Amino acid sequence: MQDTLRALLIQNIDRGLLLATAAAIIVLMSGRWCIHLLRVYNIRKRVRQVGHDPQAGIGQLTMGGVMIIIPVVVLTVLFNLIDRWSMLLPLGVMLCYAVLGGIDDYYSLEIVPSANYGLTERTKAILQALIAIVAGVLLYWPAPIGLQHSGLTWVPFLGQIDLGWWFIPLAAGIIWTTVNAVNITDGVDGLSGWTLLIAFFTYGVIAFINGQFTNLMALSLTLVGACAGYLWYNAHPAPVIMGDLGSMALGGALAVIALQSQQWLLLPIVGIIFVVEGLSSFIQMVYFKYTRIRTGEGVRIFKMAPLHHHLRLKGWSNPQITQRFVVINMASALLAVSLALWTS
Amino acid sequence: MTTRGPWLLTVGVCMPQVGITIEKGTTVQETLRMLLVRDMSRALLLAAGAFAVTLVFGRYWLMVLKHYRIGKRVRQEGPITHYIKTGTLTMGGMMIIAPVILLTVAFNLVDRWSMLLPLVTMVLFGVLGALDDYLSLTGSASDRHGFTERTKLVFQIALALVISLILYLPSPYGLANSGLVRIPFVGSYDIGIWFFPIAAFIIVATSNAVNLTDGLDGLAGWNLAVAFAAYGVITFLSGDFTNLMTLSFTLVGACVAFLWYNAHPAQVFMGDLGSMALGAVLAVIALQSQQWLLLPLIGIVFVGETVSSAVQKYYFKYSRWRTGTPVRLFRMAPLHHHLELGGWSETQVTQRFVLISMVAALLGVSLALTFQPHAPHTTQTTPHAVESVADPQP
Repeated sequence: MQDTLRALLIQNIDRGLLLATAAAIIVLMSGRWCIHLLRVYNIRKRVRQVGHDPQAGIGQLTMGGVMIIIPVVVLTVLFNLIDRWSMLLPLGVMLCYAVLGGIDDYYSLEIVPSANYGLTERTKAILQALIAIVAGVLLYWPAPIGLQHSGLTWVPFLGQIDLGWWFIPLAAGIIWTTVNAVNITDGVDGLSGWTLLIAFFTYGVIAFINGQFTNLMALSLTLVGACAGYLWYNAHPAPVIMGDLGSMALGGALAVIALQSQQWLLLPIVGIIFVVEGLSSFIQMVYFKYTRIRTGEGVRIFKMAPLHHHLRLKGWSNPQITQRFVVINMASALLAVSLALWTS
Repeated sequence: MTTRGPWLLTVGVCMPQVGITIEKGTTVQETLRMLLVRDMSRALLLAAGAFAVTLVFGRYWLMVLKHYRIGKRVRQEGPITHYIKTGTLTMGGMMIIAPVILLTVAFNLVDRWSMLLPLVTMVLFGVLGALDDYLSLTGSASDRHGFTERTKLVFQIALALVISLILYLPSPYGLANSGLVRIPFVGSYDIGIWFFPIAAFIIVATSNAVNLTDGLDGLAGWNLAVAFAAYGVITFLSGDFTNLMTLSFTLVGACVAFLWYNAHPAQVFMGDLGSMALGAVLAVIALQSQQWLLLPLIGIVFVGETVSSAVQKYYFKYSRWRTGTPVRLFRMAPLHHHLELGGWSETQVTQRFVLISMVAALLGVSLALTFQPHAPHTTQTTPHAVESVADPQP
């Protein structure tokens, strides 16, 4: 049996591992040059007047997500697209969100004078939702146009269930939520990079176990390699951050991969950090508004949302936040893989 | 994190493993799943268990260390930025070692007596490291930082010789590891009696290399976790060493949980207690799995650190002897200090070394895949295998 496994590994995984290595090397090589360009064109974040924390993001170069996205797109188009046209969807979603995030980043640059800090919340949310809905429809649509993903979902312990066309709003919701959650998480050096790396790796393993999704596995591993290369430059104190461009694009890619692998029920476990960060932000906002309506004075549950700011104010250092979140995420990824074993 | 979290997590991982029934599948995927369930469930459970126990136990161990003021004196000759680390608690390796011993004795020892060797190795090197730590505490009377190099080395070699002898001796006394080595692309090769000195050397070298690497917050912990995970996967793929795989994953869980407390700025160091014990146990696992040729690759960071240290020392001596003026190749040995003085921050060094280590581990696993077992003793999906899968033992 071990020989079967070995054969399977060699047969299925070589493209994935090669792509991962290639992505890591390309990002590593091009990263230095990319950072140089960002520095030359002075792509720095404007310091927010709301002033969270004086250390985070003063003059940090942003839009570092380019470093990840371009190599992944190039490698996937070259080696993982022909006859695997379903890979167009995650790529397309990633690029759309990259453009949207790029615009958002652009308006929050030091060199661009604009009234708002980036796009307004509402505009951003609507545009994100549009992309998410189109992606959901494309996933569900029959073959010549869409992926004919008939709404099948693996449920742990139960097996497959068919959601029918309910899949479309669900998928759109998942994509939208993931994109925003990853965006919120991107606040500490290395945090979004590590958590995305773990999430993509977990989905790579899940796709491998399932067996039908070799192309998804290859894409996930490409993303893992690229994230690893990016983390080289994103180590604390980071000269560059991925920006909305990176976090939104990669969040979108993660959600689409989860949906295509039909294992998106595991996404909250795989991305536990994104969930916790997103929830803490959400709860803070809702509770604040609720108490303001109720008593006239807003009450904050956390010292500051999202959670990493709260912990920072409680005295955790940036590397401590990142490392501890990563440790938790590793354990939850293990849990997700075990659950995936008993679903497919 | 509250102390309840880890337990809930463990229960979560345990849940799917209870009462699994798998039909007789014939597809490749079914085989894979069966294999994973049969071999892997105990390992994953123990990894989760070790993670939880270390997280919970770590809290109390920190209190104990704080109470007895087990703080470390920092070497005067280290980088100036490290002076603030004086007094950081040390001997945190106990957080890893104690849970691993506990879990292994409880779940991975009966009828798998070969696991006694790595356990005993860990304990012995742990004791040696603890003595070394004890002598370098902030309050200790000794003016040295632990043992002298020579004393330490003599003890290590003595221990390593005994361990490799036990590895090599035939069955009633030892593990009858007859000197077989698995060489990538080639196959098994018998090196006979040469195994004995080589094994001893590997144990001493790895133990010291990990000890050297343990100079930055999180560095040794991360690299050890990656190395143990790599050996876990390698032993899983080879299929003959389920118990070793289980032990490796137990160690991974404990190391990862230790990193919680070891995050920069670290609350606690693993100390020589941890680094020497875990280094030695890594070597023994590599030797027992017969894949120790991959150890320099998987532990590339350990190798880099040690080589940089050795090169620095010997080039210094050589140039002094040759020209009269000693020359330093690195700003400061080992490598992590060199890079720190070159402008990398401590966290950057750690993170980048971990990334390198991960790529190396991937490469190591790929190389292990090329190894073809000497005899195609393929156990196909036999009824026996199916039965053992259905058996819901933890």
